[in-house]
Amino acid sequence: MITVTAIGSISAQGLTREYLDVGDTINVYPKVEWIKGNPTVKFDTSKVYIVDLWATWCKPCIAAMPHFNAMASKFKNRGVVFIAQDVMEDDRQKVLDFLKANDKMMGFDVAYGGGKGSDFEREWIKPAGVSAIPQTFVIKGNKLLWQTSPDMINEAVIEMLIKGDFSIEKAKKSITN
Amino acid sequence: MIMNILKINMRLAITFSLLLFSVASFSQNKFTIKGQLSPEINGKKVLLSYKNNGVSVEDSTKAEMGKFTFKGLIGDPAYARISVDPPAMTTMQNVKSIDVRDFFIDAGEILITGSAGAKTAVIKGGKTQADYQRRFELYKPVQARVDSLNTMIAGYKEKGDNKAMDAARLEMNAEFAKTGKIDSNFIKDNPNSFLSLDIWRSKHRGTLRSNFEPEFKRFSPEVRNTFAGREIQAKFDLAKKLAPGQPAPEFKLKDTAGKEISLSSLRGKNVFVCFYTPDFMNYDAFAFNLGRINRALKDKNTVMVTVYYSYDDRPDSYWMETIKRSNFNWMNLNDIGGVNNAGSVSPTAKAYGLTYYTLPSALLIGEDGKILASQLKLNDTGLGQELAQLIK
Repeated sequence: MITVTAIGSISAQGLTREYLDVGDTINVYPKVEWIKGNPTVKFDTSKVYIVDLWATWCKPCIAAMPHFNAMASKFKNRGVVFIAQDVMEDDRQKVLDFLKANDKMMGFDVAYGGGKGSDFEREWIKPAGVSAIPQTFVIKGNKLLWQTSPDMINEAVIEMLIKGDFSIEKAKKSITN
Repeated sequence: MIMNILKINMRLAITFSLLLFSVASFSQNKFTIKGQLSPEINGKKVLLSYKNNGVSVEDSTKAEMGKFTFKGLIGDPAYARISVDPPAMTTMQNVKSIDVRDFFIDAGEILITGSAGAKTAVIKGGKTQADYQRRFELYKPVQARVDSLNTMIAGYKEKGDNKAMDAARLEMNAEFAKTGKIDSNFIKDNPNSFLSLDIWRSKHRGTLRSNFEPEFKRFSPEVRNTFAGREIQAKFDLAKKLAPGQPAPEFKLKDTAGKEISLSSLRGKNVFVCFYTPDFMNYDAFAFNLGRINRALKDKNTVMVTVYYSYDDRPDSYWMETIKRSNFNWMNLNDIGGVNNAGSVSPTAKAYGLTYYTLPSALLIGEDGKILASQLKLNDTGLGQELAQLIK
């Protein structure tokens, strides 16, 4: 008998992930170049990860950065890791220049993913069906909890994540209230 | 370019029509338009365009010494446009010089008179035209300010004064906001005016859910009984029929092997059914999200069904290509020809209110055949999780 394990939840080395859905297990961070802050290789199950996908050409991504930065400075000492993951571009120098010019606005970890064919594209962008940015991913306890947009990440949502009583429904309510 | 705020608002009104039921079944009344403009307008084309209960009509004639006549049939009062000697194409350069005028056709006689062109003519017709003229007068101070702000902005742009330009733009937004206030007051004060209904439905186009019904009921019975009014009422009634707890309407459609499948044959299982057309904007994200929903519901005793609707210009084989390209590896049915430019055609499309305006559209149906959720937000990446929670 052939046993087929759910490929969607496998991220073992050498196997490309087919899907990354909310609820799926995610243990390791794809191979990227960390250009600021502390690298994340494996997700620490005691921490909350907020991964924001952006690019230098993406105006709404950049517009969302001051908010992301404010959240980072407020919560980074409370076990919340903020990562600005550059995606969908392959001009590395342009990203480095942007970082240099906007260093004050970017008080969080920054990673450069590379363009088409990069590990991040294979392991994250495609499986999660990311066709437009900005998008924000929330990970805790080796699980993808939420795929959303940066404006949905507010203080109330982060408190829920830290406390451990987060649900998408509750998070959405806290935004509309 | 000078923006005519009245025109912008009205254009939206005529482009939205659901056509859930046949136009032909409504009574039609005669109208006659008699024009007398400057005698210098001689041998020139006069073009009239309007929508008769949602269907576009164009008519043209030649003016002789400024005189012209149009005759036609009309259901509801119709928003119309008349232009004298129109150019083959409207461009940014000639848009200001075109002799064009908007008005309302009511049944009966309409007089368009003036010593120059249509733009400055006096138009006297029925009640709706009188209301339209009254609303135009209410808009006048705003329109005047918008015109002068436009001139100012052009001047600031030339000088490169960005600060003044931004300030003028802000004021422009405030002026536009005033038109909303004028309109809502007009609607409140004139519940027996067809124009009020026309403004109201254009304001809520695409979002007329059943919670708007109390607001709709404030219009007079006469206004609600027009073609447009009954069309809106039909939409409310349909939304009620498709609300959670209601039995999902039966359908029988063919699968990829040509075998007929009925919804009732799936009783005992939950059914996620999505009616769709191919290749709309963000189609790939939509298709990916269906995959996500499928994965979220795979352990929930659920049958995933997608029902394909086509466009006129696609061969039927495009269905199979679409399934393959979109990775729809679940039950695929088709209702090709069930929706066309006139609206819902097939029993399934009518029962579920499907038109090119409402597709794609999806529902989750429970094991007992009753609707669990409708009006689903198909671009929401968390929809699959939400639906999974609805199934106990």
